[in-house]
Amino acid sequence: MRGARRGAVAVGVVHVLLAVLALGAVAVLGTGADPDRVDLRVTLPDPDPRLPVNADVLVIVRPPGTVVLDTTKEKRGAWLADVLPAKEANVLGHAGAVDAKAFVSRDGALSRGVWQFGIRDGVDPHVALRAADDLYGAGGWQRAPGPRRGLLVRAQTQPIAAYRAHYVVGPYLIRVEAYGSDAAAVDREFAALAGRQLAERPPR
Amino acid sequence: MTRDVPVTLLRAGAALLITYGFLVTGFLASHGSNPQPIAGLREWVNRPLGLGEDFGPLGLMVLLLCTGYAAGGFVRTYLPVGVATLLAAGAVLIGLDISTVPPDKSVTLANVAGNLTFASHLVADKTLLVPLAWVVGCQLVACLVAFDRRGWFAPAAVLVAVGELCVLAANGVDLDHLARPLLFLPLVLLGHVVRRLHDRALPAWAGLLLGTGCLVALAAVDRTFPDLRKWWYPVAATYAVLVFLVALLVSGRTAASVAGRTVTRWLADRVEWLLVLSGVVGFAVLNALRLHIPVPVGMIVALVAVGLAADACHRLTRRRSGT
Repeated sequence: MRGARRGAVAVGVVHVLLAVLALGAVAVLGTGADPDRVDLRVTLPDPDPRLPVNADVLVIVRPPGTVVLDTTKEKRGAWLADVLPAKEANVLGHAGAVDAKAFVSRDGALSRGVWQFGIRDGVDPHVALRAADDLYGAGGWQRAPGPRRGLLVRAQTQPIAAYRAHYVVGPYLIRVEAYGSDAAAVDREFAALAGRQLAERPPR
Repeated sequence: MTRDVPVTLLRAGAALLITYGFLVTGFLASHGSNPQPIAGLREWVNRPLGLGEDFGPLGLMVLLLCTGYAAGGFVRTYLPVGVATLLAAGAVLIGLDISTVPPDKSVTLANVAGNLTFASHLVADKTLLVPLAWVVGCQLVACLVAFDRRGWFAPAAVLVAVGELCVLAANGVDLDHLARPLLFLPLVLLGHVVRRLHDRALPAWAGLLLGTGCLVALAAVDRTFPDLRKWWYPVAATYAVLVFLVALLVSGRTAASVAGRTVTRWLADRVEWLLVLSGVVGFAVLNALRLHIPVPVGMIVALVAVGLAADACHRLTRRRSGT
């Protein structure tokens, strides 16, 4: 019995030492947070902390077709400049966007995409919504009727048929897009994709 | 080394996890509260490990594996549901708020009978007085399976039944209310198969086949019912099975020493009572005290109340059932 007790004490001591080692490392080295990036923090709502993962980490649906861009596996998403044209990355960055998680798929000449831009703490995501919509308006894209209030849709017919729609979900600016050479197919697929995304995550 | 040692240890551990996950944090979550250190534990332990509901399902899974491994008597297994259902009905009728908060008018003789016979769990949209009673239902299946002397037939038959219900659900039959029992049931069978292998009552190949079938059934249920996916139950099941097997294989003198302690045996013997009474006695006490004393103090009072109630029920029913 004394041997068993001594064994239990030894196991306990080893666990305490391991815990001291780990906590000491955190105390000396910090938790891994980067103070230089504190301005880029996006605080997510956590509607149900009992879930094994925050359901609001990813709020976009996967479009049909062959996925040619997927940045959703990256914990923080991709840097804007890595996945957007420089001008657009600049405009959205100034409007508070920090990173982008996106699915873009291709199906012949038709492309579909759903993007989730994280908006940093302290900035109203609707500022980014207006900035994105104004950017396309300034580029000659026409306002198009949206399937739902809160969704700002822009469309163009030349050089290719295209739709880009934006709306806000929590701390995210969401973009739904479809473009290709077949205008009828683009109309149809954009409506289907926007409908799916809005059903999954309506504006809020 | 007796085989009771790992089972005692695991059941005691399950009692702690279940009480924490379904009473302590379950009550706080039902009121939208996420205080420290619970929030920290979720951030640093639960989510990195992929465990939802604050270890509660992990505790249930460990408990069911142990039940399959060492099933008890039918009557003694059923008693917690019978007593807790009657207590819950009485609590609602005198106006106490329990975990389900059913309206008074739903506590009719028919509804109580439905809860006592598990009919309310088998039919959709019925008022459940003891929501976790289905766990005891799974344990009763373990008792039935243990009657099968061949060892393989009963688990195989239950697995086929689970598979058929999955096929029905996939084809549009509304069985969502059975999703959790169906997902957890294969763990009872797995515990039974491990026991048969341990006793050399089952060839290794048959055990391997059945064990694989149990894990496949669990995964199939998880994929069949979309509402389950967000909870990542297969992750918890993986931990539960690993902990169960490791405990069986490597329990030594230290484990025997811990299992022999009074507190360990107390928890292990009363885990089913703690499970069913947490939502009845625990929630009733917490809801009654919530506006009068600080929640942490109320939580301690509720834990003591649940412990006393579980102890009383255990002692009374042990005497009655002659075990």
